[in-house]
Amino acid sequence: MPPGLQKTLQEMSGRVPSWLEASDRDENGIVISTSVRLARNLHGHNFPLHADEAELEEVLEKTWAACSAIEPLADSYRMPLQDLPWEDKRFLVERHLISPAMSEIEGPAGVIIGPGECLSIMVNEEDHIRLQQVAAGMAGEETWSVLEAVDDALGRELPYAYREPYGYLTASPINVGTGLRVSVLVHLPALVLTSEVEAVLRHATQNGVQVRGVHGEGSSVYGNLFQVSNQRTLGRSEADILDSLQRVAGLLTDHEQEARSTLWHEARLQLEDKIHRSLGLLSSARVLSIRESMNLLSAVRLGVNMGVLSGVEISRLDELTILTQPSHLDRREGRVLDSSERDMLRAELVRSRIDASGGTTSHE
Amino acid sequence: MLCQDCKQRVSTVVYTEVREGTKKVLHLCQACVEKRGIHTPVLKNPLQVELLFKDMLQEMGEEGAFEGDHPLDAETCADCGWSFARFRETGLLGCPRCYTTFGEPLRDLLRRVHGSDEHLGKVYEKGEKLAAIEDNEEFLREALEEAVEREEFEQAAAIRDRIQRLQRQDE
Ligand SMILES: [Zn+2]
Ligand SMILES: [Zn+2]
Repeated sequence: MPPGLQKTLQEMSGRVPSWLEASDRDENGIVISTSVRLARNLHGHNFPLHADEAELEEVLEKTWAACSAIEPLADSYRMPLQDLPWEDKRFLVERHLISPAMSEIEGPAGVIIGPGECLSIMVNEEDHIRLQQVAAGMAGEETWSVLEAVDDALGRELPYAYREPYGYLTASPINVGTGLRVSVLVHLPALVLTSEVEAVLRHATQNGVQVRGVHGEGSSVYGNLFQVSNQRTLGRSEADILDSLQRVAGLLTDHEQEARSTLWHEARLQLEDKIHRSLGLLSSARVLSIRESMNLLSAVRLGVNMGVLSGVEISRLDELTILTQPSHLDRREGRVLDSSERDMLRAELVRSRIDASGGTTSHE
Repeated sequence: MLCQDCKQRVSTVVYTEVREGTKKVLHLCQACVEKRGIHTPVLKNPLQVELLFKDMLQEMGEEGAFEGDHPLDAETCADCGWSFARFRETGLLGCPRCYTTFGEPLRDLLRRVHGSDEHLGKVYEKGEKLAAIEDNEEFLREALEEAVEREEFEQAAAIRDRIQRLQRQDE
């Protein structure tokens, strides 16, 4: 393991990805972020699942060499994952720099991280290369133009697997074609409160998108965050895919706004009570599970968006959704904690950032 | 993937129907689910294209001729050795050439998953050149084998040279 690696991870843990600082960009407070992801593979190599150690090593080296040769990646950091302890991989997952699937991979693999963690490139996950760019708010075009430039440059250095009529060839036929997955992270607390979320999301899928709860699974999703992304990658152009996600985000925003207005007119007292109670709990609780804190942060965020609370900064709330995750707490304490220790430390961290009068405290 | 009932809207629900002991997986749109009177639990079905695809690959076996196996299962990619059975099992292909190897059945799947079998969007010219070289090489290798069989050694040597030149171009 390179000597600087643990130091880099430690430095990262003290801050959050830079795009999060602008997470209040969407004036409605509904679209939190947009990410675009491209799947690419190298011509003449087996896909990672079917490649032996030597071939994976070769792919990794070729990709790293290409990345250090291109201008858009000049200030990025290359992190080998092969010998990284599981807790550290978990930490990268919590920051959305690698996928949960990647944290399980044991062979030669790595991730390249751009300045501010807005860009990340996974090497040897399901595909040889997966490029991703994130920005706050609805930012399809902005993120795509950055990522396309990186892809163009990398495609000149490396021979990508590409063949008509299918386009970019990927390990799974699900990603073939453009290899593009555009994901929008949306916060839909009012739709959850009014129990409409299920119907609204199902309706959204008629527009060719897929939806998943970000935290928790199935019917026990918590934190009211949903990730919406395109289903199809073949036979639709990049512009078309970006467009449809923008449309669906607009549709979800309208529904959420409507639900907020319904709550405001028909259950204002209960709504205000819920928001203030949530703030009270966050600023005074001594033990907080991740599920509880995510739900409380969601309610407080809704309170700020609806003008019920003032003096609370949205980006400070969103920071906490990252910093209160298990591996982030472990790193803060410098060892692997058990879950009751984490619940205590989580409450302490939240208290230090949110005070009872409603104000958020910026960094300690 | 399109709804199996109306064949018009995108399917958003996977429903497993058990009738007289046989299992059938249905892909339906919300409207047709309601028409059939099927109840779906809250976000139980994560609406993930990965899951739809896995079901589709399994289904292929159930329709197959050999007791739950697909007739193509034993077919393997000449480049990487990946079999169609492994593909159905994992949902993943072995190498970029597998797209050519598994030809029509794969193309059929792509149509069902994406509603299309043709890429639209960014064009990678370098990739087209590489693919052409690869095809050329395959063509030349076959010609080489034939020349050797016919004991036309001079011609075989010439073909071998051309293959080597192609490979250099490839790099
Ligand atoms: Zn239908
Ligand atoms: Zn193959």
